[in-house]
Amino acid sequence: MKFIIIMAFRNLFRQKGRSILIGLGIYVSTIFLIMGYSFNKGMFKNIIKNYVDTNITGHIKVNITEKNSENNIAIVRDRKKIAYIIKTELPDVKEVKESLIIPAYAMVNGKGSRIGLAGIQAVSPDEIHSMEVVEGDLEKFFNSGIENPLILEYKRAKALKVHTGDIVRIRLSTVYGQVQTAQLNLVATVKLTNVQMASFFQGILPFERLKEIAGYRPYEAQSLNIVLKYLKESGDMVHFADRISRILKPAPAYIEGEFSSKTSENNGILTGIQSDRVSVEQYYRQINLLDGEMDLFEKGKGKVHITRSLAERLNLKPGSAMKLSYQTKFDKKNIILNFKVAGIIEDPDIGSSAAAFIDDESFFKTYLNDLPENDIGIKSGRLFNPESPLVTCLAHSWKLAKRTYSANEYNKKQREIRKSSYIGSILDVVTMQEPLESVFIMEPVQEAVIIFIMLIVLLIILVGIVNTTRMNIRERTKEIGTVRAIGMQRKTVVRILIMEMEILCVLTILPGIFSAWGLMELISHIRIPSNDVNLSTILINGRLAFQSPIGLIAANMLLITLMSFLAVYFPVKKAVKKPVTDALGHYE
Amino acid sequence: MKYIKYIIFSFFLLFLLSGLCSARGLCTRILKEMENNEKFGFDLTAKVSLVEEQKTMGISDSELLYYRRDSDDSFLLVYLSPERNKGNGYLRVEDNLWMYRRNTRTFQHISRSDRIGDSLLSSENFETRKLSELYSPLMDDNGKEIYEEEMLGKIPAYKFEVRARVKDVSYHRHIYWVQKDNYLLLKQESYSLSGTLMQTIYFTKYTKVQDKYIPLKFLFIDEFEKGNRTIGTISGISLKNVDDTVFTKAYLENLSK
Repeated sequence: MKFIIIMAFRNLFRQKGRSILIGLGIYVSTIFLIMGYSFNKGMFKNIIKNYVDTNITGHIKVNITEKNSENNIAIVRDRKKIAYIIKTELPDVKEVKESLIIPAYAMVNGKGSRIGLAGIQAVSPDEIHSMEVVEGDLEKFFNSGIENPLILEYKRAKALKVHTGDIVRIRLSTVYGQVQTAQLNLVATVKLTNVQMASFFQGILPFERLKEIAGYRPYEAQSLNIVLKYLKESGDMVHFADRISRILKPAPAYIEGEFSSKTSENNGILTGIQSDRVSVEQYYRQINLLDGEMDLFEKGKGKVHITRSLAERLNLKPGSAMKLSYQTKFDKKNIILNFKVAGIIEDPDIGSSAAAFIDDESFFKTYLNDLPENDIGIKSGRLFNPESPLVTCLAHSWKLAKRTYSANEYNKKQREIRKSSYIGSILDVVTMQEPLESVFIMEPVQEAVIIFIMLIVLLIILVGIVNTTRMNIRERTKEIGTVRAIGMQRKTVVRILIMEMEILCVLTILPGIFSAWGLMELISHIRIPSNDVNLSTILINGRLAFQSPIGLIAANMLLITLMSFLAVYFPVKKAVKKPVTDALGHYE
Repeated sequence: MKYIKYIIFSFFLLFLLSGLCSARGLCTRILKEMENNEKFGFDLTAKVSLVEEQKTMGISDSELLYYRRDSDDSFLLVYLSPERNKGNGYLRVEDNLWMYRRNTRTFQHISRSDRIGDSLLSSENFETRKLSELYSPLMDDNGKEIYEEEMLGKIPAYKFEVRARVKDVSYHRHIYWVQKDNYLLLKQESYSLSGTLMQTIYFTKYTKVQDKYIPLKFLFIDEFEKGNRTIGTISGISLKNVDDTVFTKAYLENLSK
C-alpha cells in the first residue's frame, strides 16, 4: 500500500500541469455544489427565521376565535394555561410567545393613514433587531417617563409628515369592537430591514401598552406563537402542529360556585348546553324532566334546569329565582349571577348531583369573560363522567378546528369558522406554511431547480475531468506498458492510477470545503443594499445567510470521489488490458 | 291630632314614592322612551340620501333603499347610486350582518360598527337598539341620575350622559340631548373608551308616523378626523308590509343582476 501511495504521489508531482488542471476542476465543483445547496437551504431558513424572529408568526400558531351570536373575536383567555400544556407535553418547543398586531388609523398634522401596530416585548435597544434608526433615539422607547412611545417605519412617517417628538393620535377597535383612541409619542423613525415586518406592521409600541389599549387583560392574548427548538425541514412543523392539536383536547366547561335561594345555599356547578340542533335534541333525550318546562332556548334565554338534589337543598320550584356566586380565576372578583328556574330534572350521571344547566350563549357570556377559579383546562374533565352521553352535548372549553395542510384548506376553514353559528371558542392550530403557502411552495421547486442546475454544471466539469484523465492515461499507455514489462501486475497499475485520483480528490475537496465556507462567511458579511421586496425576503439584516449541513458536505465529497473514481477506473482498466508489446509500441 | 297623623303619613308616602321615582330616574325613562320609539311595530321602506364630505376626497352623494322589518329587526340597505356602488348592499337577518359586493358577487360578514360605504354611518345606526340594556345613565355619589336642562338652539332639552353596561358596543360613552317635551334625540356625542370625542350627531328634523318619530334629516360629524361629515335625508317613507323574500341574500344578489 505504501508503495502504491508513494508511486501515486510521485506521478502526481511528475505531471504537475495535468494534476493541477484536474484538481482545479474538482475544487471548483466542490465549492459550487456546497455553496449552491447551502444558499438554497439558507434562503428558506432566512424566510422562516424572519417571520419567527419578528414574532409575526411562530413555526406554529394557536388562534382562538370566540363566537357569540353577534361577534367573532380573537382572544386566548388564559394564555399561560395553553402555553403550559404545550410546553409540558412537547419538550421540543422552545417557547410560546404572545403575538399582537392591531390595525389602527393614525392622525397627525391633519393627515391620516391606516397603520398596523405591533407590540414588541424587548426591554432594551440591544434586543431590537431588524431596524435601522433613521431619526430619533431607540433608548427613549424604554424610557418609562414617556407615555406610549412609538417607533414608526420611516416611509409611513414620511407620508404622515411626522418627526420625532410629534404626537400621533390613533383610532382603533378594541378586541370587543369598542372605539378606542390613544396619543402616541413618536420617539424614532426606523427603516425595517426585515421586509416581513414592513408588510405586516408599520408602528411599534411596547407590548403591554398596546395590549392594554386594545382591551386585552394581562392574562389574555390575541394569539400564541410557538417556536420550535430545532427545525430540520420546514415539513417538521406540520408534524408538530398535528401533535399540538392532539394535545389541546377540549374539556367540559363549568362554573363551580355557591347556589343560593331565598332560604338556603349549596355548592354546585353551572354548565351550558350547546345550542346546535343535535346537542339540544340529545340533551332533551337524556334528561328526565320532573317538573317545569323543557325548553331552554326558544322562549328567551337565561333560564336554567336544575337537578332534583339541588332543587331539594335550595327549596326551589319552577319559576323560582336563584343566584350563583363564584370567584374568578385571575381578578379574584366575586361574580353573582341571577337565574330563573325553568324546570327540575332527575340527577344525571355526570359526576355532580348539584348542577344547573343553561343555554350556551348565557353560559359563555360569563364563563369566558370571567373565567371561574375552577378552570384548570384539559384536566377539568375529572368532574364529569366521560361515559355519560349527556357530557357530549354540554359546553366545552373550546372546539378544535380541523387541521389543514394547504392555503386553500386553511382559507376555507377560516371562512367556515367566521360563518359558523357555534357559540363558544374555536381553537385552531396552524403552521406558518398554511397562511404563507405561496412562500413555502417555492421551496421544493427551487431546491429541485438548484440541484438540476448544479448537476448540469457538475456534469460539464466532470466531463472535463474524465476527458483530461482519459487523455492522461492514453498519453501514459507507453509508461503503463513499461511498468507492466518490468513485472508490475495489472491490478497494481490500476490501484496506482486510482490512488492518484483519490489523493487528488482529498487534496482538492478539503480545500474546496474550507474555501466554500470562507466564501459563504465572507458573502454573509457583505451588506446588500436593497429596497427590493423579493430580495429582502431572503436577507437577514440585509445579508445573505447560508446553511450547510454536515451530511450534505459528506454526501458531496462522496459524490465527487465516486465520480472521479469512475472517471479513472474505466480508461485505466482498458489501458492495462492492452498487451505489453502493444502498449510499448503506443505512440501519441 | 288624627289629621296630623294623616298628613305625616302622606308626606312619608310621598317621600317613598319620590325615592322610587328617582331610583328609576328621568334618564332611564328617557332611554326607555327612545328605545320604544325605535320599535315601530310596522315595516318600513324609505330612500336614504347621504352627502359625504371628506377632507381628502371632496363631496360625494349616494342614495340607498332601506327596507326594515320590525318584527325581527331585519333590514336591507342597497345602493341605488353612485354607479360604482350601485347594487352593493347590507343585509341584517337575525344576528347576522352581511355586506354584499356586486363586483365580486360575494357576501362578507361584518360587524355592526363597520361603516356604510364612505359615510360616517354604521350598520348599527339602522338597527333597533336596546339602549336600556346596553347603556346606563351616569349617577352621582348618592345614586341619583345626573342630568341638566339646556337650550339646544331654541329647543329646551335634557342633557345626560350614559355609559356602556356591556363591552360589545362601539362607543363606551354617549352624551345625549333630548327634547324635553317628547324625549326625541336632538344631539348625540360619542366618546372613545379613553374619553376622546369621536363623533357628534344632530337630528334636525323628525316626522311622526303612527305615533312613532322617524328622523328625516341628520348630520354626522367626525370629531377625530376633522373636516369629515355626512348629511343624511330620509324620504319616500312607506309603511306597506315588506315581503319576506326581501330580507334574503338571493334578493340582494338579484337586484344587482
